[in-house]
Amino acid sequence: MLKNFTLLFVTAALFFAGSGYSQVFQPQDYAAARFTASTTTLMEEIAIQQEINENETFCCDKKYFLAGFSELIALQVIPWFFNRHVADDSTADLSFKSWGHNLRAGMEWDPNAFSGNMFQHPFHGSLFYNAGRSNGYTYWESVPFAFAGSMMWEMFGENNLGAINDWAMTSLGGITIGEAFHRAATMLRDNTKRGAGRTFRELGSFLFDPVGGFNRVVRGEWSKVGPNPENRFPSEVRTYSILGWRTVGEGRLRNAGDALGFWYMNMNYGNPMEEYAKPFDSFAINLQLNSRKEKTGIGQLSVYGSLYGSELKKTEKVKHLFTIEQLYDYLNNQTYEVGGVSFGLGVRSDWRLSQKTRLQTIVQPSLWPMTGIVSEFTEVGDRDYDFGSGFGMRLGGTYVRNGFPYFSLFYRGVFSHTLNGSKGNQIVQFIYSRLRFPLWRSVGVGLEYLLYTRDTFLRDFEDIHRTNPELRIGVTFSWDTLN
Amino acid sequence: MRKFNLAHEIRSRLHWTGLLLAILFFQGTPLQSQARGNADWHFSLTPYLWLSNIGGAKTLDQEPGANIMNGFQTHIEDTMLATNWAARFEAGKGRWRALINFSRASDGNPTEITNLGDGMHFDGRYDLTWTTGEFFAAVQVGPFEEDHAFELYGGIRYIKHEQKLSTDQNSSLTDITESWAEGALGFRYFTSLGRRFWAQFHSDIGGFGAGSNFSWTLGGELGFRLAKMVNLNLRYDYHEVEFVNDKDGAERYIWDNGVQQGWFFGLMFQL
Repeated sequence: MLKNFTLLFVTAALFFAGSGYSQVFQPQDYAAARFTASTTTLMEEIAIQQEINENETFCCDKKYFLAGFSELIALQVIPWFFNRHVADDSTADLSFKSWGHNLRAGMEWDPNAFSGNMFQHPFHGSLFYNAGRSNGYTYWESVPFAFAGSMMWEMFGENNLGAINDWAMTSLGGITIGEAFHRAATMLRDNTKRGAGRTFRELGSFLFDPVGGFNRVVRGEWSKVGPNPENRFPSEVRTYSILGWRTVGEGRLRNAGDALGFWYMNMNYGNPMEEYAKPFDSFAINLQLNSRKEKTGIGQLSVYGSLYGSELKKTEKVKHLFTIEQLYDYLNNQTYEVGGVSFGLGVRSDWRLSQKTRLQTIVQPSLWPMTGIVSEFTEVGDRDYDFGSGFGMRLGGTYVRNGFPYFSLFYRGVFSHTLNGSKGNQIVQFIYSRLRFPLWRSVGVGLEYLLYTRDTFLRDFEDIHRTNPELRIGVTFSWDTLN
Repeated sequence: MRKFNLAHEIRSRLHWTGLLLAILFFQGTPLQSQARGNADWHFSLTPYLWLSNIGGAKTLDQEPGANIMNGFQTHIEDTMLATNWAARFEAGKGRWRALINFSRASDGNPTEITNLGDGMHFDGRYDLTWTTGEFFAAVQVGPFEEDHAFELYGGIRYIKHEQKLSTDQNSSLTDITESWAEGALGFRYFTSLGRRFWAQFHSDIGGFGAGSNFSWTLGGELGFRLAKMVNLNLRYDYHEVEFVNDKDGAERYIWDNGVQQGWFFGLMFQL
């Protein structure tokens, strides 16, 4: 039930991401609307301006701890109530004895399925995080809400022992997804609007940030007209989408099976080379929906947000930027289950090759506190993957001509030592190349080649080496908005 | 001798504890000296009472599953430990901080022992004292502000396991002490939550074959500034380690998925 609800939630969010943004990203902020409303009379305009500027304020000029904490409790009670009284789940039979046992016995590694642990839990964590974020707290100040909310659930939400992997994924994954969704919801909302358009926007933002949406209803901000937040939009928002077919081979591409439909979407919020003053001033969301024949509907979700940036060098020819980024990855298809949370420390560069062309590159080693990687030998409850921790590397570059990214080549690798599951080490590597040609306006064609490799070295079993090439072709759509 | 009961001790001294906390609370305005970005030297010392728990599968003498006599594997689960403590010392200036952590936990509870040779289970006693010492250097990367920080830390972790396996028939089936030092690398989040509350989260990995095969830590801490120089701390740490020594026979020692975790209740003094 929870899985279906999450899928519905994400699909609906995607719908708004795909269709709503093209409207949202128009420069329709308050100032622009005020000066372009040709049919509005001067007196009406003055009346609106007075109403907006003088009468209305929006959250949050101060921090609402009690509201945030109450919502944190509500986010425990509601799922517990559902589990106890609707799903009739025996783990929801709570008592002081079960709480005491959980507090004393500590945490373990749970046997739940990959999608539940690596995808649904971070979504739950994003709600905890936004209980703080939507009550006036900054990114940093909201981090404890995610950790505390997750710990509460692990200790008091169920009568079985808490899971250390859940605490890690719900907290760290929840912060990453939560901040990205908070920003996306802020873009969607428009306090200067009225009527059906306003309601449509509020509903759309509710899908990204339900806790923030709830707060707006309670505070009467759902329909109140007033100014928008100053930093509602970043300097640019670039979206890319490819709709087409993909085929995956075992070992070689010529062994590939039937082509399956897919829809991949990418949104780049802000310019990572310019916007890094605050956490997630720039971030990227990648999302892939698969056809029904695939194992899961959601094949990929990744969120990469900047935490910090510092300029290393800037000349006419090149700019180097040291960055710290927070990353969440979830990849789930027929051949691979790979996910986790990580922190990357590296250098982004923007090389100006000529007047019209540039090369944007990244070199980013990373630390992975938590990974989840499929294993042929792990069968613990619904679990067919190992939990681990380790290091990673991200390398890549994009060739841009006249502002259009024609070609991209990226490498991603992670070395993970198993913490729980089949003892040993896993190395997962991933090469991704993309060729795009614009055809007409925002429509084009795309050809993508991906190569996955997994090398597993286990203590008690034989080694495993897998290589899976993937070819994708499809129609591409792009919406780029510069403020 | 009366058995030490922490809950009883606290209850019997509740009025004194309350009075002490009230004096500390009203003693003065709390400082933000826990906050980062402090250009002057600053120090803190935190003793903790530790509601500790140890779990995992430990094999003494032989490889897990070896079909011989005298190979014992203990599964230690749901083990409440008593009289455990820990301490942390920090010194910092500007972006840089030094951390020293020390903890000691002793397990004297009866446990079930499995004889690997014939699968027989019998009651026995497994005494373990786990001592950990850590010395880390941390550097703040990212924004250099007072109310939050992202820090990278790295250094040396020293672990010592003293253990003794016994039954009623044999008072010392096995008596092994094993210790090792390993490198570790991790990160910490720190954020201030208003004038009185702050929180901190950390994670690290270590070992990599030098020392233990691998070790992993995840923890969080909530602090309350009680007075100018005193904080109340509530912390949870989860530390997992995999260790196999390079000895054979009776000295063979394997700590598979060894976990040390639990709640820490601390009082932090800072200058």
